[in-house]
Amino acid sequence: MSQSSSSSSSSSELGPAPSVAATLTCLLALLALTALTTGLAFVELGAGWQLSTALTIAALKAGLVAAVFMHLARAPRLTRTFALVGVAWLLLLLAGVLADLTTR
Amino acid sequence: MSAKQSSADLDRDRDRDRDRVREPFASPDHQRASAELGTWTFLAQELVFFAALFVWYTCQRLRLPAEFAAGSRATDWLLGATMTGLLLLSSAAIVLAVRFASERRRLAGILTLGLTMALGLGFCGIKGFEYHAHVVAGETPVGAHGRFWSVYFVVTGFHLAHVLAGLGLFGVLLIAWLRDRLRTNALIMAALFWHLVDIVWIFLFPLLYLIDPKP
Repeated sequence: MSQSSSSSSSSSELGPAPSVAATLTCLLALLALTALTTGLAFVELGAGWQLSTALTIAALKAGLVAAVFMHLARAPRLTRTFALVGVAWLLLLLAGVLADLTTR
Repeated sequence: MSAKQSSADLDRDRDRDRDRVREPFASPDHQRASAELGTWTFLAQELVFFAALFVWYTCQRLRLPAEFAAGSRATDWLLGATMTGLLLLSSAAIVLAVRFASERRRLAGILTLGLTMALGLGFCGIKGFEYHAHVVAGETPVGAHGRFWSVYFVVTGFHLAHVLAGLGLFGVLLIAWLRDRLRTNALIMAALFWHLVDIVWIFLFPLLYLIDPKP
């Protein structure tokens, strides 16, 4: 009984989703980053810098969505591990293909 | 007799609570953490699915940089940015819907879920308009810069299929909520899926629309 009451209190502390203020702040940051990446596409940076800047901003936006909207920052460690493993498979596949394509 | 009656009432009340803890879970937290972990496992394999498409994109773009730049110039970056904005707004709206569901604020929740769906439908509408314009202009896999358009249509097509699947899930959940039969965990799981679809588009937008938009 005491266990169940302690778990329900931890549930309300954890919260089901980010607060309204955190959600709107994150949304504003995501919209600002979208405007930034669009604006930078019109600046003469050179193809390599253009692509790496765009991908860096996209990764930052994806990180914000995962951490705040998907609640990953406050998820149990096991859940975060599962998410990171998914990204690791993606990067492994891309790295393998890129290594092959760029060296021959 | 009256004690038996009240116990039956209690059972009925418990059955009506869609968020009650079910077997084999020990607590609401345990039940929710399991639902989230299962969803993340599904999302990890979704990432692997999209990884194949991104690898195809990478190979083609490295081989055909000029064709990709020319094809990308024929896309409308303003429409792409607008669609990005719609998906980001819809993601924020579904976060609020989840919050309202767990706070049992039904009307606010139904409105934000409806807003999420309206924004998602707006995305689909613009995408449909774009597809139509490209086909009419001959910007297809068999036209000029066809290898860019091949990647464009397949990758955005699979993404659009995910958006439609998400909207279908939300439609079912909206009906359940209107009938007061929503399970909060089901909404949390559908929202996680929707955010992943948003993340995929966050990468597709610069990779397809912003390769070289300078006039």
